[in-house]
Amino acid sequence: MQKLHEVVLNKEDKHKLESVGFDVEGARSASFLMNDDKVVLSDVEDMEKGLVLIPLKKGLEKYSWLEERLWRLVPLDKDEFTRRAKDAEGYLIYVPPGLKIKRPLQACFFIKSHALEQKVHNVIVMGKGSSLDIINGCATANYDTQGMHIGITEIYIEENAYLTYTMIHEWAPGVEVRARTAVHVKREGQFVSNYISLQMTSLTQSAPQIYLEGEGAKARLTSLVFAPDNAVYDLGGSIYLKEQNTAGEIISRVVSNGGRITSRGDIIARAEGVRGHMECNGIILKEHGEITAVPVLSSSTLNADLTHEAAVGKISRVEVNYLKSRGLTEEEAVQFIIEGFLDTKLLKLPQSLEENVEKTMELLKHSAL
Amino acid sequence: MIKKNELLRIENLTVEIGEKIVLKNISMVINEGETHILFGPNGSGKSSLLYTIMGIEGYRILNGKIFFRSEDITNLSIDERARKGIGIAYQHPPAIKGVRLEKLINFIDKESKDIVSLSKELKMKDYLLREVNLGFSGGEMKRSEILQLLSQNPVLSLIDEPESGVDIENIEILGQAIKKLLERHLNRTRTRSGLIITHTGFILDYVKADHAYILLEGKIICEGNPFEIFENIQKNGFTACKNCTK
Ligand SMILES: Nc1ncnc2c1ncn2[C@@H]1O[C@H](COP(=O)(O)OP(=O)(O)OP(=O)(O)O)[C@@H](O)[C@H]1O
Ligand SMILES: [Mg+2]
Repeated sequence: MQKLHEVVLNKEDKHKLESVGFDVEGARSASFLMNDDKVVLSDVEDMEKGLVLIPLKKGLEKYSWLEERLWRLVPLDKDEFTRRAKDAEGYLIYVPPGLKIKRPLQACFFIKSHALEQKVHNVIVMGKGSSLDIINGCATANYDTQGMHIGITEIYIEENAYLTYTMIHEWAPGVEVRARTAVHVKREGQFVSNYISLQMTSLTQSAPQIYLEGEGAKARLTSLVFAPDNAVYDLGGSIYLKEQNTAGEIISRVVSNGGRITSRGDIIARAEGVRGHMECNGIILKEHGEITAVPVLSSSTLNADLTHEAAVGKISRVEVNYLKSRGLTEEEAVQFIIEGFLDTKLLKLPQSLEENVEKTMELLKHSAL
Repeated sequence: MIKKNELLRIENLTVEIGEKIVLKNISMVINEGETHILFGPNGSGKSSLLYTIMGIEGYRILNGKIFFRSEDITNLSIDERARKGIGIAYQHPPAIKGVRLEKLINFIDKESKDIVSLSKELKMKDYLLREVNLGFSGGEMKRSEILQLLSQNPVLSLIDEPESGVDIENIEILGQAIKKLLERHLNRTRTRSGLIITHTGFILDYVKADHAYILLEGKIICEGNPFEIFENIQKNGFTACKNCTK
């Protein structure tokens, strides 16, 4: 397996990877790169500390405990896409108990070949009291690439462990994405997910299932999405508050510039003293665009505090007029407002990634708007 | 006498918003370098007049024309008017989420002014990284508006109640800033003009205004020397002005 500094990338590929947050110069604890269906890079810099990042198939050979964690959170026969990913390659990330990794771990899934079905299966195991920040990028080499990405991700967060999982997508008009993610969080554990996608996709479907299985566990899912003409997004997320004092938050900001976005969210309270909050805000910029917000709150207990706010509509004329009266054109005013609406500050980014993601976002916004 | 250059001319302006006629047959002329004051009770149409001059959507002109530097701007868009040199400080500005004040100001400023010292003058330096007007207090909002006007540096500033809800110290700061904005410290070569709405008349202490109007139910019922008019309002209220010689 190659090391990060040995990976030779052409200029365009390098640029593409950078645009989804992959830092080729590597101020990272570990790096993973999959081209089509081959792992070309799996390099751990913080190895001595015990951080594990290896291709999944190697992981299965090496760790006997992995077998029973595979297809446990996401059932193999969930649907036709999970079945198609039966023998998929991907990564295993394991952070041993107590280990707190400061520098982010980066992974990228890159579709280079035309008409490829990229199948990925990732497993993340966060030992007790460990912490890690992951930045995951997905991109195609060319804008006219056709293809499909099926991504299975199973995440285990043990007691008091903390994981932030930041995902940036930059697909193409001909790419269909089926993500199947499930997360188990134990007592006082925390899972933070940040999702950014501002580009074309023929269909991107993603709805992580988060099970808060231990007292005091928390989860927060935030997404910033921009759908150009003809893009279709079906996004969601479910947080099951299964134990006392668990808390979940789902925040989404979506903009349709002609594309179709369904933004679902489910918070399900099944224990006392739980809290859940959901916010879905959408702006439609163009005719034919469509945003459907489907927030669902469900409680079967007396003592749960679940709230949601949802607002879908056109851009505020008062705000546009305000900026125009300062001399901005209509287009400039709209751009200002949309850029502000998709503010990375809404994400819960670790400090180590803030600058990187903000910069990436600037570039993405620039090309999208 | 030297003939002054006419900057803004409003002719017989009648304006409707929703179903309501808010301005009735308004006429006024503001020359280059002059500052005019607009008095009037709540709901009399003062803000509506400023919005109409700025070209804000929804203020339908039923009759009349607006000229800026002799050009008919009645049908120009807001941003075209702004680029011609008209600026406004709002009574109730909206918040623009996610947009930092600094970013907006840098965009507005076309002359590479020293934004930092400008913002210091207005005690706004610590707010540059805040989102525009989001969670600003009343006084902060007023200072932010004047700071934006200073960076835009318009030829004609429309200023809507710069003092409402502002404490004494900040009134001083705002007064000085508006004085600077309107070049009232200069005696001769003044090129900046203003139309200011005030209830308290505080601005008259900083800007020796040239002319004033009283608006009542959408009509100019009285105009003349700002100090005399203000004194009269204080003594006799707005309605007494109905009988004043126009
Ligand atoms: N969108 C609207 N629809 C209907 N009526 C409106 C609308 N906007 C303003 N008005 C009405 O027009 C009238 C004039 O309002 P305007 O804001 O110009 O008053 P003002 O003189 O600035 O008052 P204040 O001193 O309270 O700021 C008011 O009666 C107001 O209710
Ligand atoms: Mg008003």
